[in-house]
Amino acid sequence: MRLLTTLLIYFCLLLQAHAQSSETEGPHIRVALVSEQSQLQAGQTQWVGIRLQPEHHWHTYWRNPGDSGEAPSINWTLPEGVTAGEILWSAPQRIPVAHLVNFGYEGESLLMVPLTIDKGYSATSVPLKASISWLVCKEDCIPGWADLMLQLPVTDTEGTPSEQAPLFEKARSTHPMANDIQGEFEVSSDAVSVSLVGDLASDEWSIFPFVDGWVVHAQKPTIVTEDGRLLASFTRSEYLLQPPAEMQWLLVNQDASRVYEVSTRPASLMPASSDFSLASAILFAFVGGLILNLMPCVLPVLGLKAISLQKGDQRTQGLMYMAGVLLTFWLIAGLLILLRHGGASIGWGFQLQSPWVVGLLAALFVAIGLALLGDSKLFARISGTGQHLTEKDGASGSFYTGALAVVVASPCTAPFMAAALGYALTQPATTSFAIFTALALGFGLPLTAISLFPRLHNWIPKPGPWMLRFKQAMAIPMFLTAAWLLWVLAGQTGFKSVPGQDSGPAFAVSYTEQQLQQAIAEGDTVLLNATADWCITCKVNEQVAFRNEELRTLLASEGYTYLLADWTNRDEAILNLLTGFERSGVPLYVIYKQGRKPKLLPQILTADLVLRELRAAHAGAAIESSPGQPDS
Amino acid sequence: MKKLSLFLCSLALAFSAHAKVEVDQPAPAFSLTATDGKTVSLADHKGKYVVLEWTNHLCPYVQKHYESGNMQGLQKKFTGKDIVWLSVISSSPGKQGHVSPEEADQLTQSRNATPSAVLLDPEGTVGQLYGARTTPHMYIIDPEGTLRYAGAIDSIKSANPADIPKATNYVDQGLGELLAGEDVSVKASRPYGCSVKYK
Repeated sequence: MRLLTTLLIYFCLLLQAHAQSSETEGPHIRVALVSEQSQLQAGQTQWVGIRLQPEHHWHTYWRNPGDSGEAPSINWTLPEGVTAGEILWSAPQRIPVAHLVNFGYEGESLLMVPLTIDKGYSATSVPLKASISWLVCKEDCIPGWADLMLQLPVTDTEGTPSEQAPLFEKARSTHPMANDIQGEFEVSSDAVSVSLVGDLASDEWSIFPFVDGWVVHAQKPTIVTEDGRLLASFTRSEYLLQPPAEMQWLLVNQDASRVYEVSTRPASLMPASSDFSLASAILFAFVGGLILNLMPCVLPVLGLKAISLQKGDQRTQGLMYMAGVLLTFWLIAGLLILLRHGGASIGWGFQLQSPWVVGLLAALFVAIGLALLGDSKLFARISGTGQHLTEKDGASGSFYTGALAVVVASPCTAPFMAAALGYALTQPATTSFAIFTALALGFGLPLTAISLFPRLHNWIPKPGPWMLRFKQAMAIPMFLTAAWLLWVLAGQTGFKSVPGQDSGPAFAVSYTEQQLQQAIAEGDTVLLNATADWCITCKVNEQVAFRNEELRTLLASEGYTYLLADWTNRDEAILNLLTGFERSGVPLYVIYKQGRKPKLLPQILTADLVLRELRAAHAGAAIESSPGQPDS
Repeated sequence: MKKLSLFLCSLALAFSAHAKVEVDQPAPAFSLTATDGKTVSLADHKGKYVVLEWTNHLCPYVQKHYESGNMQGLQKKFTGKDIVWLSVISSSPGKQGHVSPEEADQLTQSRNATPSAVLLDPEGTVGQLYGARTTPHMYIIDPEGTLRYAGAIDSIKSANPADIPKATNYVDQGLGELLAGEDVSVKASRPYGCSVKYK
């Protein structure tokens, strides 16, 4: 009985101690609230932490616990003027549990938290209260909760290190370090890949995703380095439905002496040449339309027309003029769209991505620039015609004036029209229409504005010799545009952008539907590799699988065809190929063999897997294989 | 019968083509022994909604939902609507949560649980087939045999029962939507809990 009473008292004491204590003991773990300084200084940021000491072989978790488990959490109750920041996580370990993988800490860890005390904090001590929850696991897991309290004196002078200070010092060596690593991520149908640029080549890295549900943790990523980039391909998690705007990763080298936190943005899947948004194209077209009014053969017309507008019903005339301009531009756009449509059906590719279109456009811009520079008589003559027409044209309806203004002015407007034309040719019909409408609005605006607000008339610049200089000055943007196009062209045909250089050996054949059908008809075993220069997963596979000697030898041998579909510059034919497999992007790997259904390979390859599938297809054996099956 | 075997074959084929379970795809066919010794197959329940609940009575996350009565409430609610509720135990012998058929029945009784059946999967084959990661890990299969939901029981990943009322229960929500003839708004989520104690 006495023993029981003693035990009870002891238990009560323990409970009481628990409520106010800075430490607690749960099953298989000790948890303590600790401070780096034995006293805190107002107006400073100091460090406190939760010290987790699980038993031998038991572990707690990192911010992303992995396949199961739960990260510890801290809920602070702090007096006014005191704020706690986010947990600074140490680099975790990979902890395999059966067929799952967790990220956490076997053995002791410290969750460091910055604590800021306002300068004006007047009390002599600060009570730090933290509600902590944790999960401690070996194979089985035990959750725990505790409210811990630590009361620390506050002084004006610098604090002195506490007994726990060495723990903080030790933990700091496991925290992410400053770095200038830049990164992008790419999510394809079954892979998540990252491309990181920085001083990473000399080490072997473990890469931990910050959030569970992005990648399959149990499968280690395939990591390669190329051109100073570190590329890693992970198997995409089935829980990743919508790729996030940002993915953060922790990079840890083999001895954990280097720990980097890296934030990645979605990789730009578009080649540089398509980076011209619709909105900016419309804006450019509108401004271009306005500028057209200043061209030598337009301005005189405009001035005279403006005078003639002052007689009669100005508003109607002005609006009719605008209608005429609009309709004429629309007609041109319609013709263009028809032309483009017709062109597409006979196999022309009006794409800014195709080098010959870019090349032609660049040449056109140079020609225009030269024409503008030269003192071409043409401009003067046309200018005269314009004047003549407007003089004559007083009564025949402003609608036709608008329409005629466009036509008559065309020799001078052609340069700009050509630019709009060139861009519009590469775009869908609706985009072309929008661009031409913007151009028309810009072109028609000054005169219509004058008709609506006659006072603006004074604002029109008077024709004069300055027009010639202006015309010549306009050559500069033309040359700049040409230079830009040439740069794009270099990007498309330059040695860096052609995968044929590093992934396409001599025996690789460029994909066309015809090549594919022919190879199949000849009875070849065909490996199709749809890739792109900007595709990170493709690059990883090219290094890991396609550089393999055995595979290269096999692909080069009789009876095999290696088809390379390069989607770097986009291409209708390859897009059709991809959509045929319900894909909207690369990589895509398919093995074709006469009499068999095309065999889709996974997006993350190994040389063994490709070799096995190729041989199976070649032998005509109808094996079913999945990535999970052992190699045969 | 011919139809059934065709159905099973198509399921098997569908699965061999897709190595992993996918929502809105046919749920993989399986047969397991229930605690009463009878064999229960997914195909037996064609025409009805089926809920699969991976469980391990010693797991704190399972305890969270049983000690609060949350799981029993769901079982009662949906078995009352002619929905088949199958609790699956994939703990291997010697591991946490492994039970004999008698122990499993006792647990059902003592916890006032009302699953349609408790299935024993000590080899972990069905667990692996479905990619069950944690206890609990929940699945909803529609009367046509299509998987309509896979993932966590609710939206707050914790072992704390106090979080249950604050969380969105994905099974309740999903079944509610399906019974109302709507599409499931949350089709998949990251399951949370203890790892399934496979061998």
